[in-house]
This record gives sequence, C-alpha cells and structure tokens, in this order.
Amino acid sequence: MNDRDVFVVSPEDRDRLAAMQAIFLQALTGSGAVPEGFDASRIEALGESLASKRMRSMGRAWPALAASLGAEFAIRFAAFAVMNPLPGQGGPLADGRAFARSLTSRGGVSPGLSDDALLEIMAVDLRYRSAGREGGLLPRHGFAVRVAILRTTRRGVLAVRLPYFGEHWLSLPLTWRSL
Amino acid sequence: MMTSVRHAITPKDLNLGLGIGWRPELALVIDRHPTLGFVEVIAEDFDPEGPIPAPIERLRERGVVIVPHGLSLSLAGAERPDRARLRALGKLAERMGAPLVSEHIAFVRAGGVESGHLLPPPRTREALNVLVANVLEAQEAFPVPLALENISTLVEWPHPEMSEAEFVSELLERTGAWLLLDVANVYANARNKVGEQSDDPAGFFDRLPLDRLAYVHVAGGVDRNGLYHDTHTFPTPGPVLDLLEQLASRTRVPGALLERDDRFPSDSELLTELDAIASALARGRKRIDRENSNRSIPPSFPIPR
Repeated sequence: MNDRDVFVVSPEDRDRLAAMQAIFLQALTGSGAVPEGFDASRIEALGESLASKRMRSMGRAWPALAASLGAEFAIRFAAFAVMNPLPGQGGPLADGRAFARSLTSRGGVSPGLSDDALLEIMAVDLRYRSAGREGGLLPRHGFAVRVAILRTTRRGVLAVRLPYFGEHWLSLPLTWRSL
Repeated sequence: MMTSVRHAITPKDLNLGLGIGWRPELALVIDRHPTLGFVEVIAEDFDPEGPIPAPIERLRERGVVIVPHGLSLSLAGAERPDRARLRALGKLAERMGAPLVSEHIAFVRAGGVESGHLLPPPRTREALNVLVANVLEAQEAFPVPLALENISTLVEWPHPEMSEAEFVSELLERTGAWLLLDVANVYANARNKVGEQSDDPAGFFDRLPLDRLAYVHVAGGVDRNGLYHDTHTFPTPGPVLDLLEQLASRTRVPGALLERDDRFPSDSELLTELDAIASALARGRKRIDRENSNRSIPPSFPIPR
C-alpha cells in the first residue's frame, strides 16, 4: 500500500474547479462574459480559434457534405454551431451528423445535397449509432440497413451492415419517371 | 519520491526512435518508411472493440511501436475521468501492444459543454490536487504507463500559485506519470508570451524532471494576427528544432515524434522534415558527448588562461 491508493480530493474542491472552468469555457464560446483577471483579447482570439477549428474538423470529417454546400457551408455551419454545442461523443463526425440533420429537418428549406453527400451520411449511419442522452455518435456493432435515393444519377442504394460479415452495398438504376 | 510501482519499466527502457503521428492521409508514406520507430494513433479515432485497421496491424508486424494518444480524457477537468473513455484507451493499448499511452495536462469539457480543444487548468494547488487524483484513477485503468503532455495556450488563468514547471514537476512526482514534452508547445507559449516559457524556453527544460521523459512532440504552426498557433500544418520551424537540440544536449530523448495535421506534405517533404529532426537530435547528443569527453580527460597540467 502506498499513498497513491489513499489520495482523495473533496467534492467541494471539484465543485469549485468545475464552476471556474465552466465560466472560462462560456467566455470562450461567447455564451458568457470574460471573467475578471483574464486578458479579454486573448479570450477572444482563443474563442475564434476554437470556432474555426471546429468548422475545419467537421469539414474534414465530412468532405462531401462540405463540398455539397460550397460557399454556403461556412455560413450554415457557423449558424448551426452557435445553437448547438459540440456533442459529447464522436467529435467532428458526430458534429457533422447533427449538422446534416439540422439541414434536412428544416421543413421546405432543402439544401439540395449532392449524391456524394447523401452517400456520406448513409455510410456514417451504417457504422455509427446515436450516443443517446449525451449526444453524438458511438460505433455500431449490430445489424444495420440503410437506403438512399440518388436523384442526380437516378440510382437507388441499399447498404447492409452485418456482424462478422461486414458491409454490403447494392446500387440499382431507377428508371421510372417520377424521380 | 512517488514511483510507479505497477510497472517494471522506466522511461530509460524506452527506445522509440523517430516517429510520426499516424493519420489516414499519411498511411502510405508511413508504411513505406524503412526506419520509423513508432507512431501515435489518436485513440478517439479507433473503436477499441472493432478490428485494428490493416495499416496499423502491418506496422506492428514490422516492429513499429504504436502509442495510443488520448485527446478526450480531460484529466485536468473538475470531473472524475469517464470510465468508458479510460477503458477504451486501456483496451487500445492492450490490443496494439503499446508500451505506454499518452494524454494531455488539459481539460476539454466543463459544465457539460465540449470545447473540442485542449484547455489549460488554473495553476492552483486545488486544481493540481484534482488533476493528481484523476491521473491516479486513470493509471489504475491502464495496463501500461501513462505519459502526460504539456499544452500550448493563448490564455492564462490569473493569479497562478505556481509556475508551469513546478505544476508539471509536482504532478509527475505525485503520480509517477511520465513526461511527453511537446517542444513545439513550449515554443508556441514562448512566442505568445505565456508563462515562464516566454523568457527562456530552454531554461524551462531545466526545471522539469527530464529523467521522466518518455518522448517529445515537434510540429510547425502558423502566425495569425500576431499570435502563433500550433496547428501542425507547416514544417517544424528552425527555432523548434533548435529547442529540440537544446533538449537533446541535456538528456537522452527516447523518442521524437512529428505531428502533421491538415495541409499534408508530399512524401519527400515529410522525409526531409524527419531528417531535420534526426539531425537536431544528433547535434544535441554530440554536445553531451563533447562535454563528457572534456570532463573525462583531466588536464595533466594547469591550463594557462
């Protein structure tokens, strides 16, 4: 037995630190004032650096989605990021999934995502599941099936993920005119 | 002194050599590199239960050491480390046959909000106690030793109760953790006039327990609006290589790892950069050798001054 096994900190120590760190983070994300004693210009610089890093990381994890939105990407993502903090699990991939959902859930304002972007969303949904309460994504281990209709190339895509047998993708031409 | 009782090895047993932070975009050049000693993998990018990706398996088979590098444990955060994240990192280490894992002296979330970034803890005794408790808890969950990395920051907390060197030294002393010294972060803090590193970055090395050094990071960043950002997007600048040389002239450096993210370089550019890192280390080692040989030959007669 040595002192590493008996060292404990009090819940009060943790609570005080938690409050300090929460105020610090709120100042960085622009949702709170700069706490006393901090260099405001540095807080602003770090806050900007955080926001641009978040957008870059998301764009890198979702190249087709970002490309599909073109110049709109930066504007739409910035608007999304202000309202939605980073998810607890899954980092930029989960951030992008929530962003994609925000684009499609706004009734009527369809961003007209490219086929590649739709396939990108499909691939992520096949491999990851929602992390639930905490928000974000966790790797999927069970069975999953996804379907997408690609309007530009007029194809229907079916993807299946099976435990031990991997992923199987099937792409079929759609010939009827209603599309 | 607090020593690591659970692990029989010390940083002196490490011989990692030259390394690169593994990224999918660099997989090919890493795979082709004949003398690479180790790579770091970003732990959060891997599913600890899923199959180890083939390129990583191949590296292992040819004897390249894999070190899982965590970004999300938030050890300097107020909350206790998340059990699932600890388990995931420990499991990756086990499955990749890693001799150690590494994380940062930083917090990444607070008040239920993720920052997506490594943030500095206040340098108070209270924050240090919480950090020590978190590190001890993390170490219990890992099958291998943990190395902790110094971060760069643009913002400092007011009223620090100790210097960064004191903070890091005491942390390592009380936990038995090893040191992952990011030389580029020391440079970034110096450039941005943060803490004691601003006056004398190499002097900062002297105040750290270098006998705990497991490996170092180097990288290149970018100047933006009068501040230096350690973005890992440019070749390692000369001053960082000079600092690496200074470090290597003070202690044995068991491993040196280049971090590149975004703006990935061509193969030849990357190899040139690795050569530059190896040369800086060799220059530093030579300085030790020279001093040792000067010392070991006592003058047989008084040297006239």
